[in-house]
Amino acid sequence: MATTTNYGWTTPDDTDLVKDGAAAIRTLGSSVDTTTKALNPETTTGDIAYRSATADTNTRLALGTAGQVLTVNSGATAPEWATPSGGGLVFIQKGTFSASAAVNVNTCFSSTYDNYRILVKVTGASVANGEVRLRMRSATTDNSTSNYNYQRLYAQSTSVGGSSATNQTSAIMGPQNTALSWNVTDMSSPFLAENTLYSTVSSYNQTHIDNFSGAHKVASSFDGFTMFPDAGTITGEVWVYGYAK
Amino acid sequence: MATQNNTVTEISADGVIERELTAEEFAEIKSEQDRLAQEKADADAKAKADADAKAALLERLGITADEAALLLG
Repeated sequence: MATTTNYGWTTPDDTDLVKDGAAAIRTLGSSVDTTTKALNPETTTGDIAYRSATADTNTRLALGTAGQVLTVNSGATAPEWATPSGGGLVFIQKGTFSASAAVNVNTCFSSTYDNYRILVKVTGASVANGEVRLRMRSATTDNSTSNYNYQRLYAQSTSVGGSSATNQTSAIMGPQNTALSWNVTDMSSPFLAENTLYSTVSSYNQTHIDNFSGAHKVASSFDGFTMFPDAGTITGEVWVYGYAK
Repeated sequence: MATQNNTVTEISADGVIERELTAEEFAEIKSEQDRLAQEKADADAKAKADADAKAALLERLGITADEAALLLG
């Protein structure tokens, strides 16, 4: 009996009787139908098919849910839809501020994360060569007790210097100027009832670098923070991210 | 002369709201800014006093700052 090259469907031999043609066509058609169905198991919009362990037989993979991505299963044997993990650094919130005497960033800290990254771009300030001050915040109220300590290390051209302060009513988050400044802050455990530690690398005037390390030295839980200039107002943008636990 | 603005920006997951500082908030920020300004003024005054004292001492000794640095190694 003759068969097709790829799927081995039975076809009539040259010597078969014409009277058997109808039966031969039915057999061939049935074989094509079975194979086609085996290769196309999709039943619903969005389904996809993938090669199974059985030759010429695909497996149906139903459409995943919103936000899922196609990945490989844990056994590395088949594709599957899965919800992507959040990654190491997860965006929480952002906002812009314009000519503000204070910027309150509320409810950005929670039990979801322990440690955070805060990016601040100050694009303008009403007073040159000032500072962006930092206060921790809870339930929309600033903590202004004298519990902030910090150390500063700065460099501009060949000038290097430093300073420190303890028992302050606010800390320094970074310098600000009428020109662009950029502050990258990592903060540890603001929401946990522990000391809140932070470190900032700041750049401004394109040639000036400032490093700050500091703390709110009393174990307290905070759900936000406030930035304010030491004089005048500031304009810019702030982003808050959480580090995956 | 710095201008004191009354705007506070509230940023949360719900968005950004700009509003006026309450009298209490304004007083608190003003108090902190005044304290910082005084600290800076005190630091500047001390730096100037130190520089003046150094210049006076160098004049009494009749040497330059570079010569003093040389002496001190």
